[in-house]
Amino acid sequence: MIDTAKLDQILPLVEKPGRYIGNELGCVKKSQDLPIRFLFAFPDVYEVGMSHLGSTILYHLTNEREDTYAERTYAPFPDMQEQMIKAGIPLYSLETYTEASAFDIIGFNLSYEMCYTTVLSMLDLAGIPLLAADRKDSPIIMAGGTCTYNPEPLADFIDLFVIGEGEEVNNELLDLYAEHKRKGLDKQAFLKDASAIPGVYVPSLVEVTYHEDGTVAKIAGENLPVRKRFIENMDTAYYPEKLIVPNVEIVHDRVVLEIFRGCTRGCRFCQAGFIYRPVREKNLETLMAQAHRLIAASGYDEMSLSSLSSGDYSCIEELSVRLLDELKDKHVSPSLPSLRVDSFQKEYAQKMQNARKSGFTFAPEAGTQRLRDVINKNVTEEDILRGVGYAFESGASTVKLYFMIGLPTETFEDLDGMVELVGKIRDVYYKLPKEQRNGMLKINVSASSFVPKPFTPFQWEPQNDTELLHEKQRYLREKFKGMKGVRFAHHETPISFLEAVFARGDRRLGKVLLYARQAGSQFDSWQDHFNLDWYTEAFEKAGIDPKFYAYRERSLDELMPWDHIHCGVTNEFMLRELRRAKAGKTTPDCRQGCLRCGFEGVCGK
Amino acid sequence: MRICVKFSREGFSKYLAHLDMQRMFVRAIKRADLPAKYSAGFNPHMNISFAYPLGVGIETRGDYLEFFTTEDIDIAAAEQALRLQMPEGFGVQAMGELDEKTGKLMALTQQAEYRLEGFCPEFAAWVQAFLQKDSYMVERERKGKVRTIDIRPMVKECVFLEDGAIRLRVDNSGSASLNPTLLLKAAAKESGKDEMRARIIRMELYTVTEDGALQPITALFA
Repeated sequence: MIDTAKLDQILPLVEKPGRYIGNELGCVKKSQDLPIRFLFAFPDVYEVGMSHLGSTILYHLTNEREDTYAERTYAPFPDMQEQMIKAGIPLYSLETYTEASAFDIIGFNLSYEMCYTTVLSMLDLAGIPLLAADRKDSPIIMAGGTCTYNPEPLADFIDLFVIGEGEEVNNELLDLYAEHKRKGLDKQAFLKDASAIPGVYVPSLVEVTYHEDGTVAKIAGENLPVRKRFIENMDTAYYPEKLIVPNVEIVHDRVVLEIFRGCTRGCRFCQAGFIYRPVREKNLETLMAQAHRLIAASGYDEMSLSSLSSGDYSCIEELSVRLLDELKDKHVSPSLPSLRVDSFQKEYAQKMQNARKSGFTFAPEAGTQRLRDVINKNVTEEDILRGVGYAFESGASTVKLYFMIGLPTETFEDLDGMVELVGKIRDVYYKLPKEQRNGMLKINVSASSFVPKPFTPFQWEPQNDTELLHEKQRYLREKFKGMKGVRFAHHETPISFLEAVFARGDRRLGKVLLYARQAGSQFDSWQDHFNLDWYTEAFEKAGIDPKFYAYRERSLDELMPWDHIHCGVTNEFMLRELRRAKAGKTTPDCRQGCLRCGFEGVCGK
Repeated sequence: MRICVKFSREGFSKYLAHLDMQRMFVRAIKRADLPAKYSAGFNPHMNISFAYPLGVGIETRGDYLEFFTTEDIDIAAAEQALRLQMPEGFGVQAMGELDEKTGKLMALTQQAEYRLEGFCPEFAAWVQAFLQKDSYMVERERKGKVRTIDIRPMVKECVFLEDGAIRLRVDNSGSASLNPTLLLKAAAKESGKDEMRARIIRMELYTVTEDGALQPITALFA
C-alpha cells in the first residue's frame, strides 16, 4: 500500500482531487489475500476511463471470480503526476491504494491510438520497465480494446493482447494464470501457454521480417492467425447488476444500457462496423430488466443506450416508448444517441424532444451523394432534410452535423456539397412558420479528418496529407463564414496524421513511441498536452518516415502488419467493398440479404 | 414533509467539491427510494439544499441538508435506508422533520464549531497571540475581489483541548463567516512560511434562538 498520509499531503495541491480517491459506491471490496490481483488500467483520466462500458463490464465480471480481486487505476493528470513523483508515490489502485507494481496482471484498455504514450507514462509512474524484454518479476502487462486489432505498434511493450470481446477469454486467461501461479510462475512458460488460447496474441512469440522497401515480408509464429473472440448470445452474456457510481462528474455520467453489438450498415470508413460483427441484439425484456436494475442500484437520473447505431435496434420504438413510460415516475430521462438520419422518425423526434432538451445530431459524413455512395453511407439528402425537418417541427433549433474530410476520391465539389447541404438545412428551418421556430437556428458543423483504419475496405488507401487537409479546412471555413448561425469546427490535423501512422503501423514504431514518451509525450489526444515536435524528433531518431505509414497507397497484395490477426470479416469481402467503392456502388444493409462477409452461418443464429 | 439530514464526511471524501457532494446525495436519496419532491418545469430536479457549503479538504461530523417529500414518511426507516446508501467516508448522523414555517436551513445557520488537529507548534502560538487581540485584519479574496476584513470578532470561542486539538466556534452565516483555513493562512503569512496545515473537522452547526441561546440544528427537529 502506498503512504496515504503522503497522498493526503499532495491532494490539496492538484486539480479535481476527487478523481484520485476511489472508494466510490459500488466499487468492489475484497480480501487482498486472494491468489490473483488484477489491475484494470485505463490510459486516460478518471472521467474518461470511468465512462468506458467495456471496462465496467470486465471489472465486475472479473470480481465475480472467487480467486481474483480486480481493481482500477487511471492516468493521473500531469499536475498529479508531478506531485506523485515529488512525494515518491507510484501509480496505485483506487480500491486499496496498492502500488500497481504489486499486482499479478495489469490490463490496459486501448480505445484509441493516441493513448499509447499514456500507457507508457503509466508504466513509468508504476516503476515498471517499459520494454517487455526488460521485465522479469514485474506484473504481466496485457491489453485489450479496439486498437488491439492492430497491436503491432505496442508489440515491444505489452506481454499479451486479447483480441475481441473479453468476457470469456479473460476468464480462460485467469484460469491459466492461476494454474501457473500455483506451480510457481514462469512468465515465459505462461505466455507460451496463453498464446494457445484462441484470441490471445503474444507478440514476443511472433517474428516479423521486412522487405527492402520497408513493407512486411513475413509474419511467423505458432498459433497464427489469432482470431478475435466474441460472445454469441447477448441475452445470457454477463452484464453487471451494479455500477460504480463515481463521486465526481464523469463524461458519461449516467446508466449506459448496451442494446446490441455489431452493425449491419457497412459504412466503408468505419472500423467498428467491421470488427464488431456479427450483430447480436439483446431482447427487449433483457434490456428492460437491466435498465430497472441499474437505475435502482445507481440512483442516476439519466440513461443512454449504447450501440453502433441504436436506431437500427429491431425493437427500438417499443424500447424507447417503454423506457420513457416506465422511467418517468422514477425521474429518469433516457436519451437516444447516434441516431442514423434515415432511421429518424417523426414520433421519435417528438418523444425525444419531450425527454431531453438537447440538440439533434446527424452524421451525413460526406457532402455529396456521389461521395456518400463511395463510403457506403446509405443516406440521401432527402433522408437528411426529412430528419432535420422532424427535429425542427418538434422544437429543435440546434443541430449538429458530422462530416469527414479527406475521404477517398474526395474533391472540392464534395466540400461545396457540404456547404449546400447546410444551406438547405437552413432553408428547411426558415421555411417553417415563425411561431413554430424556436429562436435562432444554430448549426454546428464538425469536420474530422479521415483516418484509414485496418480491417476496413479503405485500409489500402492513403490519407490526405496535412497540407491538403489544411487547404480543405480553410476552404470550408471561408465558405461557412458568411452563413449566420453556422459554427464550423475541425480536428487538429497533426493528431489525425499520427493516428493514421499508428493505426496502420508495424512494430518498428515501438521505438518512436518510446522516444516520444522519453521526450514527454502523453495525453496526446488532449490538445494542451500534445506536442508534435516530440514525435517529429522521435521519428527522426528512430530513422522512420511516418509518411510511409500515413500517405502511402498499399498495393492490394501487400502483407499488412496486422494480417496475422483475424476479425472474422474476410479479406475477399474487404476487396470487394473497395472495388465497389471505387466504382461508386453502394452495398445494401446486410439485413436485407446476407453479403457473405465471413460471418455467414454465425450471424443471426 | 420537510426533512433534514445531519451528515458526516471523513477521510478522503473531504476532497469532493460541493457540487459533487450534492449529486452524491441526490443519487443516495433516489437509491434509498425516498419520495423526494422534484421541481416543476422542463427539466425537473430534486431540490436539496445544504445548510452551508463545505470547503474542499474540510471534514465534517455535523453538516446538514434539507429536502421535501411528496408524502409523509417514517423518519427512522428513512434514516436507516439513506444510511445504507452512503458511499465510503459519508455517514448519516441523524434525520428529523423541520417545521415548514421556519426559515431555510441556510438562514437558520449562524455559527459553526470546528476541531483543528495536527497543526505545528507555531500555529498554536500564533492562535494564543491572536486571541489576545481585539482586532485582526486580513485580506480575503472572494469572486476575484480582495477585501480587508476583521476576523477576530468572528471567533466566538477558542479552546485548547487536552488532546492537543483546538475547539473553535466561529461566525458562519450569510453575513459573516470564517473559514478556519484563513487562520492557517494568516498564521503562515505572519511566520513567513509558505503554508501551514491542519486537519479541520466541522463538528456542528448552530442556530441562535430568539432569546440569544445557541442551539445545534438538531434541536429544531420536531
